[in-house]
Amino acid sequence: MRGVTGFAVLLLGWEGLRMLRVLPPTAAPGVRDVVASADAGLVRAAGETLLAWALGLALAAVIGIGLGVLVGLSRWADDATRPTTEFLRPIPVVALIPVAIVLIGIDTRMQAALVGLACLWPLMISTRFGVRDVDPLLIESGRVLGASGLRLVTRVTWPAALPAIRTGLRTAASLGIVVAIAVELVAGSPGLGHYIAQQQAAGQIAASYAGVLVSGVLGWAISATFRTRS
Amino acid sequence: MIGLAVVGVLLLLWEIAGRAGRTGLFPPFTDALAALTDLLTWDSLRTDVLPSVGRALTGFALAVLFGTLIGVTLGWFRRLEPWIRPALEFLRAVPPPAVLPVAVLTLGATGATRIAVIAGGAVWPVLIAAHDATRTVEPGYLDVARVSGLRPAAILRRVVLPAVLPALLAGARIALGIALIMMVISEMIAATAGLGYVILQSQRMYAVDQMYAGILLLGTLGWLITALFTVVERRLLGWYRR
Repeated sequence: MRGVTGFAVLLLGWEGLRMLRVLPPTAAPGVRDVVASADAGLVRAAGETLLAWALGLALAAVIGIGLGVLVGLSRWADDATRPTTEFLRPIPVVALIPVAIVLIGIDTRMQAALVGLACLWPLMISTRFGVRDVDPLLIESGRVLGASGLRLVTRVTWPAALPAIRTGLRTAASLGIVVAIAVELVAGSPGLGHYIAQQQAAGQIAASYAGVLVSGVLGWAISATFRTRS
Repeated sequence: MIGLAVVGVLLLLWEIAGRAGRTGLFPPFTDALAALTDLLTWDSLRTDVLPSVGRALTGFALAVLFGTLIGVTLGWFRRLEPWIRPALEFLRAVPPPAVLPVAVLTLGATGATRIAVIAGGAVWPVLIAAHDATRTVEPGYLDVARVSGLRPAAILRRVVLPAVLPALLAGARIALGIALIMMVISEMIAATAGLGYVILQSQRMYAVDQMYAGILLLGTLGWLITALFTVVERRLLGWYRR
């Protein structure tokens, strides 16, 4: 309830700034206009963004967690991949948008690939950390009790590393939606980013604000989902 | 050693694949490297590379400054928390790139707008971290400081700030990543200069060598900036045992 008041103050502040002409009324539409401009196209765009996000995240989860377990268990694999990942990781994925356009084309697959690449690093790193950080006592106990190899990994290492993996998943999920919208904005693949840019170019300012609002709701829903599950 | 060998093998594979391909869309590594020397001339450094880095760092610095100020202030008044938290969570969740077209429309396609967008996207991780950390400072520390007769300003500087610093730096690290993303993306929308612009424009003109060169340069810069951040973090947190 008190949280709702916070939102109300935020909206009133927006309207107030408009009335005082601090925000130019032409560039900053009223709350009512923004809500009224929501249409089927907006809902479809939100669905397209979600699809690209989900595909990319799923891709990153499979590859990133797999790689993370591998480099977490094997020092050798870790040493072998370290310099490569250390260089690739800081490249902002959005810089690869032009490459992805050239190599894949402008569609949901391209978007999913970029979202996947962005989500790969947090997933891989926190999985590696989680696997490496498992209490050695647990591993020893597992060994003593007769578990080894794959069984030891699935029964002992995996559950113990799960909280760290969930943390990585949460970071990746939030990052994924940012990248999905960025790709849509630049490449024009279908989704909210494209919708916002298109409406803005067409002079439908209220609709483009509605797009921003809906992306906020998506981002918020995603972070809320992944928080309660961990 | 083995890691560097792997890097070497990957680059070799890139070279071979580039030479074998006939599409012209995937140039060999050496061509990209040759194109990189064009990007490193004084002219392009001055018009594209340095302003990009400058905007990213300025935006990041503003984000850390304002994130800390607002976050610590909001956290200091603990009673505010239930009122403002949901609104903060929502604002934080708005993907920064979504705001870009609207910001360009409202503020114009200038360097200042790009800095504002970078700062506006990167401020949230810092702000939320500062808010959380200030809110949860051990009350005992604050009591001791008060009993010892410290003024509020001194409490902030000598108790709250050190207690908040580790969380603040963790937030700043996330903010740095967002700042780099926003730097690139802000230069791909309504821009005429900058590293992001160079990369996108090279693709549009099928100057594929130059496109890969731009990405190599961006990767190197990203790596350098992250490394620099780690050095600063180690210095500031030397006292903090992990």
